[in-house]
Amino acid sequence: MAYQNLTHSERKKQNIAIAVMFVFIMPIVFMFIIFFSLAFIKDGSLTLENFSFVWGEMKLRDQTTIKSMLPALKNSMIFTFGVTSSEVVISMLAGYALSRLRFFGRKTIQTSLLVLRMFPTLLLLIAVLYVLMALHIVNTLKGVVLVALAFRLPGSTFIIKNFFDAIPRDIENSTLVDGCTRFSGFRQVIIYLVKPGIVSIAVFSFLSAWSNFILFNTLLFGNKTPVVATYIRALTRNEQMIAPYSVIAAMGIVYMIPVIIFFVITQKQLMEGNIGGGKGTA
Amino acid sequence: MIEINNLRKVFDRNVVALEKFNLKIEDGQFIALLGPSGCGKSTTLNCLAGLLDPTEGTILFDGKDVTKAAPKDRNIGMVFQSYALYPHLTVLDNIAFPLKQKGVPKHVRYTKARDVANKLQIHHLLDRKPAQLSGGQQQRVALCRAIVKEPKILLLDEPMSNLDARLKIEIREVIKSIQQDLGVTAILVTHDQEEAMALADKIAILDGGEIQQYNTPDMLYECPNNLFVANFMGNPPMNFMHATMLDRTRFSLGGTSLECVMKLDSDLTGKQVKLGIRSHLMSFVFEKDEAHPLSMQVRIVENLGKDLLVYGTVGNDSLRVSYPDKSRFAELAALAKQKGTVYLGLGSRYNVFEMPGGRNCVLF
Repeated sequence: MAYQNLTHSERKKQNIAIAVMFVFIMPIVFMFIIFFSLAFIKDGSLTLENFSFVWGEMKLRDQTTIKSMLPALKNSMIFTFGVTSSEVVISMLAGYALSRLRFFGRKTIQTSLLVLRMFPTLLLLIAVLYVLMALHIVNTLKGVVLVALAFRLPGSTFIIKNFFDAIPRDIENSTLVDGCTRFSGFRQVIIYLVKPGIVSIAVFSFLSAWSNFILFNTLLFGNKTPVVATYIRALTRNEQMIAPYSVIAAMGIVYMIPVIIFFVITQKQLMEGNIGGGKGTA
Repeated sequence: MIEINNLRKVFDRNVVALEKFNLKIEDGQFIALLGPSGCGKSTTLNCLAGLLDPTEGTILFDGKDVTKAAPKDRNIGMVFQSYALYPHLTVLDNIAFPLKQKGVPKHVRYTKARDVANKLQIHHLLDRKPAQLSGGQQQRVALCRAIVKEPKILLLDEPMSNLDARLKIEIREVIKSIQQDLGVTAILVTHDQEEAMALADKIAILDGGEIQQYNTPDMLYECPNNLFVANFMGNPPMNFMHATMLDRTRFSLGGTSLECVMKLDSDLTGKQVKLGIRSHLMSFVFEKDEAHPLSMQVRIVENLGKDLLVYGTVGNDSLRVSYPDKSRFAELAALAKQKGTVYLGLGSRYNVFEMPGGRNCVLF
């Protein structure tokens, strides 16, 4: 459709752009090809042998055994689900309050959200450790969840607040006149209007929680509660590679699958941002 | 009956939106709140709806104090300027939404919603989403949603300002007939005096958070209380001319002494006044005579279809005067080109506004 609307010269330029883009993505495509062939091809034939760590212990050629990935996968899923769902709920409520309610300190909170969002969270890790020690939740999954949430909340609250800001006052007033309380109006109407915002913070939260490595590496000692990231890390220590590259590649693919599934599910929702209905919704 | 007593609303930073606001509205009446933007008309409506808390004063519905009641407990329907339809629901669900909140069973609320939709001729659109409708259709849906729960009061917040001129007239008709059929008390907020004139039984003209005049459209048009009301009502706007009262019955206008044909309520001798005259009540001729003593320089002539509108100046005052004889358009246009002169008569009915203040001193 859009292609047909281009003039002749525009189409020419577009073709050049496509060609340039093609050149640039070739190395990445090449990397993926190697990656997949490492994981799936052994001695010239297709095999799933490299994936046997998923369902049980795996014996390597040098007689070392790798523990099953299942506990790590489970931990990762619990962690990701916990962080994503609580992040969405909390930031949504906070964002709504910041956008719609007028209370003392609102401006301050709003600015500090931005400042916190800009602050490099890695710098806080040592301080965070002391806080966790004071709260007696150091070296627990609960503690890591709290820290991960705390790091993410300012950003997502800020994002969702902007979505709430974009909802016309009239729609909200209309729910009130139509017999809703503030909460039931929120539940029945407002939530649907910020759906693209909810999906986008859910996606970002999911990605960051699923791939979180640094918090587990620093806040959980001795690999007590392994997640996928630390599980893989444990097999690729600096001094020696325990597992061969083909197994690592297979692990990478397993690590990737939930992200791809999640992305496919949320893709459509991300794209449709239909707040309001036509003219005069501003 | 709706009573608004001594309503006062102050916003942040001490912006006073309403001051000593009193209004009584009988059941079944159609009232318009008319005024320029920022005059407090939407604030009044939002206070009535319960969307804003007034700073002081009370609002009574049928003698019951509802000042502190939540919007949902007031039995009102409201139509917004931006339609405010719920984009994720179909038209049918949009219309049935208020009934759903009341806990009406599903089939009953859908039947009722269909009935209302039939009345407003949008029954063929029920399965669509609001984004698939035109502006006029969306406004009809919004109207359906407002009346489906059979409210006692219908609040209309500039419902037509997003529509084009032709649709405006169409929706105007729909609103008026619905209001008559249901016998509901309706309050319309608008800045369009034509809309207010067409729809309302009574109009309250607001300026600076205060009611300037509250009366029937005809009274507002014919007997404005003050300069503001006179200026606001009528299209083309009323003409104003500076004059000085010489004694009780004579004034001087641009050096010409003229007799005041209107009866005044006080002695304004020596005071500055403004004469306010509707364009169709003035007349001019090409040769000076006794009834047309003032010379007016012609600037522009417009052909309005039913008559001509002549723009001219007398002294420092710009005037618009209607001229019924369209056949003389070419002649007048030629005159306008060379800034020619015609002779103006004030007619037999005009307003005399005391300056400063702008109070209308004529005894009607």
